[in-house]
Amino acid sequence: MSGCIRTLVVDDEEIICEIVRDILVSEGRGVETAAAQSCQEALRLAREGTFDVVFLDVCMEDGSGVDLLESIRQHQPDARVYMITGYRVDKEIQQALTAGASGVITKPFRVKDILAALYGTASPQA
Amino acid sequence: MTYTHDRPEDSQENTSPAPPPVGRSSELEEIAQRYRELKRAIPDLMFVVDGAGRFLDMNEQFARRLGYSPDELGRKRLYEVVDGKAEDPRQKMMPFFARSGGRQTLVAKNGQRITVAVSAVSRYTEEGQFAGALVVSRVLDDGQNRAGVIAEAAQEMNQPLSGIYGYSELLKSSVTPHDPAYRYAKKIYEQSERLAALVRRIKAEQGLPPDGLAPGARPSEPGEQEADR
Repeated sequence: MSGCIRTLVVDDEEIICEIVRDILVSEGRGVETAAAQSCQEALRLAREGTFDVVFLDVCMEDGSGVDLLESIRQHQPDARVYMITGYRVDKEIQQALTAGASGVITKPFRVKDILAALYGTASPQA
Repeated sequence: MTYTHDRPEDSQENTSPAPPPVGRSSELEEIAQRYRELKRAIPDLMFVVDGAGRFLDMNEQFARRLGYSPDELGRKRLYEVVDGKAEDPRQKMMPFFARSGGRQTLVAKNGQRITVAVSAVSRYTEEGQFAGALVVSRVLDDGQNRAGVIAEAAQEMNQPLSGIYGYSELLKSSVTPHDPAYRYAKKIYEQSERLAALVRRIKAEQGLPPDGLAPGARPSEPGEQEADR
């Protein structure tokens, strides 16, 4: 992948948004990040911007991340979307992969999990 | 959707739907009949709310379990019978509408807390606003409640653990190995590992699947990701 990588981080937990953003920024290789802590804000950003990689929490406070994935897909058909989950519910993981997620990252994640997703080298289920 | 409860104060917000084509009438009536049978037969608590949390429909089990009459409960909003605090009270009800909403707590008329396992089918407007949902909730017994609270607490620990792991790795990679901060970061990471092992043990005790790692994988060490690249 060449040029700037545009990323969107969606999680209702502030610490998760912050650490994922900081990991991405620490790469310092032209990675741009935006973050949203609600489904509504995520949809607005997805409508208005263009993203190469999206990190999306499965359980948002104001809705389902799997439902949100389907909405984001309409605006960002080419983005790689990685679901982040602390629950590892197989049914939801399968739903997310069926709905077009590129992979699933389970909490607590490591720096290398986020970077593997950023560069597209992550396996479908991290 | 049949509106079970009359709310004159809401009448200006409701618009009468156009009548369906004649050929569809019997099909729709059949679907409505199946819905009514399901609502009556299932032991779970079942209700339909709109985007503002108004109850459009519910089964008797739901009202009875909360200690209200259906009419009485029909005049309330969902967020008025959900436990929790939020600046905007409507936010309290939003966790109910995730596809698998997990465990949530309702508050009965007498103040009793009732923990339920929630499943919902939600709809959103094109603008991403919540439009309404059909929610089915199963009441959990005390044993399940306790197990649920323990499991949920264990799951929640994954949030700060992700932050601690990530920042200890970033801190370690930002200094030289001779810097005392390098050793401090390594210690933080090692202690986080102990905490993560405890979380996995608690989850295993509760019959939940382990998380974070694919089968056969092992946790990475601080700085290992640089070597992997």
